[in-house]
Amino acid sequence: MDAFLNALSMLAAVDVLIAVVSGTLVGIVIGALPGLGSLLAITMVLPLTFVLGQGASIALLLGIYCGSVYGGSLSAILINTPGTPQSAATVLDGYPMAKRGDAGLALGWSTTASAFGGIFATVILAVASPLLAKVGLRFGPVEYFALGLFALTCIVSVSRDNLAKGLIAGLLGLFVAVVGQDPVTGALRYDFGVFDLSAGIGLVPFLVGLFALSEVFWRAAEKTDPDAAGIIPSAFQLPSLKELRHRMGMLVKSSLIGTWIGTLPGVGASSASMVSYAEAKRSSRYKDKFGTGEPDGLIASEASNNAVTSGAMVPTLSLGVPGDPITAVMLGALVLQGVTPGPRLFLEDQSLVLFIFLMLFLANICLFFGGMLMSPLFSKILRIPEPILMGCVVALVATGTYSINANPFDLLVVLVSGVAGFLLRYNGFPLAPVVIGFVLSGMIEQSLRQGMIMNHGNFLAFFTHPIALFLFVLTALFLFAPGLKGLWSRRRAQGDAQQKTD
Amino acid sequence: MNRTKRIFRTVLMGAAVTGLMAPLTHAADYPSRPITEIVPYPAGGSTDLAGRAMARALNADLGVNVVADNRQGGGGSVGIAAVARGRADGYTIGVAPVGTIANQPHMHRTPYNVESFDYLCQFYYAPEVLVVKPGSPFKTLKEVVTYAKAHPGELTFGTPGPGTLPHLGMEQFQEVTGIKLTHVPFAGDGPGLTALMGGHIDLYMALPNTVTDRKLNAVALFNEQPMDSLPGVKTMIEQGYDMVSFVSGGLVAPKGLPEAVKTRLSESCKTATQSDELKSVLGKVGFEARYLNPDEFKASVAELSETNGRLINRVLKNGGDNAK
Repeated sequence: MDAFLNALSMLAAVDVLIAVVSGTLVGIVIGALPGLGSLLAITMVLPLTFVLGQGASIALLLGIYCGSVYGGSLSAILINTPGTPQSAATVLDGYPMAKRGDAGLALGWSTTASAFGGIFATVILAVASPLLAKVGLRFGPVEYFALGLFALTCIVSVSRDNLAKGLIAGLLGLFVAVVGQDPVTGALRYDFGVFDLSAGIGLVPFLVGLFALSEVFWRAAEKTDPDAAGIIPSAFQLPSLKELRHRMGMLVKSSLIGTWIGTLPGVGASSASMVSYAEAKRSSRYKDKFGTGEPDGLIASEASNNAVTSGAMVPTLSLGVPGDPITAVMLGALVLQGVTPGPRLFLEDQSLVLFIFLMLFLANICLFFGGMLMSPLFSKILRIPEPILMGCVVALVATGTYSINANPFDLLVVLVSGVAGFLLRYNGFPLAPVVIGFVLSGMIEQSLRQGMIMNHGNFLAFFTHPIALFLFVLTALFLFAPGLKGLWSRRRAQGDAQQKTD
Repeated sequence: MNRTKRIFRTVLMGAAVTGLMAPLTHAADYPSRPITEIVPYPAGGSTDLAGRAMARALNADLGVNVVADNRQGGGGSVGIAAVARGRADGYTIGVAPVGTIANQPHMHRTPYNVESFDYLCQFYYAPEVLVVKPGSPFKTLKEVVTYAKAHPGELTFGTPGPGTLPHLGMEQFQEVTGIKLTHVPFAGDGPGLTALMGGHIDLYMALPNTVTDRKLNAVALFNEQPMDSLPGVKTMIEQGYDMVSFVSGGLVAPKGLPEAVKTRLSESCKTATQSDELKSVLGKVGFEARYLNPDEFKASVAELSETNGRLINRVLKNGGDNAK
């Protein structure tokens, strides 16, 4: 109880409250700008934490983190471009919703789902953090491989029009990610003697080129029809309570998936939203409508990626091992503030741990109201004449990408993937599978090869791991269930017909 | 149109003149403008925090802003390449973890090698510690070695990646103890340490503060002397093996600095290393402040490059252990 009062008094400081509110708002803006992501946002404010106190620093970082993950959904919905990699799956149903004239409602759902996911995960974190950390440790290479494979089935769900083209696009993504150093031998692959390629293709330039730049090319190539205004801006609209109750199951499940994946080091919010989307597509009441602007798809992506923000704090705080690159930066900032994350933190500094939980809670509430406040502002960008808007996107994409690493090569990557994205779309290949393949490639390859080394080359040993086996079965069910169901109903129809003739 | 052209021309000429003047103003009263300090790893890691603390300490001594600039990728080689390609005027310097210069050029073609830099000083150091997984039956190094001798290739060790300092340290460890272990590389210390704590691998090379913060069981310290923070952990040397292994790093600049600038920077690097603030930050992130002068630092990198070049050629270039 003393610890709780201590935490509350830390929270009641003016600088702490200002830090969390401004952090969240700045996070939303940075997240919404394509090319500028959570990592850049956190890195930008890192120097500020040297002068701010412990409480305000933590508040600022958590606000920025939660805000930026949510912010990515704004541009995903409004301009078909995920603002951050974490929102790659949000595009799939968010943009079709906006195109249909429901941009306001789509923003309302993403705001609600994000805040819900974040708060839900924070509650779980507060109750079960040490336990979750222990369960997370059970995940070894074999389990990571099984998880990656399951996430990969997401490709099937986003390739509704043409499965073959979707699979080819997915393979392309898997392949592009192998450029660079081999994770086991360190040998270089497909670098063609170019030094810059030895570091591999960066996720941000690749994603930004593929989505944002190709969208610009796409619109420039389209015949302009003065009557078709494109997306009709509509007022920000929260889903009704009835709708909310109706989709509560999906909200809870997606938040659980996000929290869980957040606790696994090295998986990250981008993969989490894909796993969640794949699972939603498997089990939703409206699975047939996925990809056409179905709120369940939007919820699956947004609730899970914000749940990751809290979930990722589990290994960071309780093991001292960061869950993703963003929490790695936060871990560094915490260490400088004299906090030593690890098993001892929960025993020795409970009030600080509670303070972090309360801060996450508060950041998600700020996110909800910040989202309500800023969504209408962002919706206004749809009224900007298209050529100017697209010009701004190009400028933003270029400066944003360049600002991360000051490497001109990244701009080349943006341009090439932009052209590639355009050509793919022109020939009817979906873009989402490319990103899914790209994001999951590293995890799948590394964990497969680690598992093979540890089992002395025996792949069958993978099936002796219970968690992995469960995930393999889930993957198989997802892939083959529709086919089997079809077969079964055909059989039954045949059987009925036979009975009649008998 | 004409006006635009004129403006354009003026701007261009202005830029050209400033560009020409810049080198002239330098040597006279260095430093006169902000210095960029390239950090080849992402923000927030131990090396970055150490680099940022160094930047603040240099700022205090030199009186100009020293801006940390993260250029990540390729195991640090992208950032270090940017330093090597920079202008040798003292306004571009870099934090060089020794592995980026000593290991990377042996792994793949890099636009730099040991000779591409002016070395300013070494400022951080931390020895490696060999730890076993929680609940491991092994309590001492002797038990590990005895078991591994009887069961070659059965025990596994994790590393943050192929060709990293802890990996090559483990390869050297197998050489001096005459045992054979199986290497499982991870993508960084985070996933690797989690796998150790989850019991998925048997051994890991960690830094002293990781061992104390997470209460891991250590069996050997790769330092010259025992450490107060690790009571009861014997060094390799004490246990009869002549071997040390460590991570360290310092400041480098593109080769060919004017002599006066080089002297000023290396003096400043020494002052900074002795400052209390730098010592305290380094302590927090798990390093100790250990100064080496420019010649000693370069010699240390060159020596490591020779040892590790040989190990890399044996372990990674010729098919690797895992391919055998």
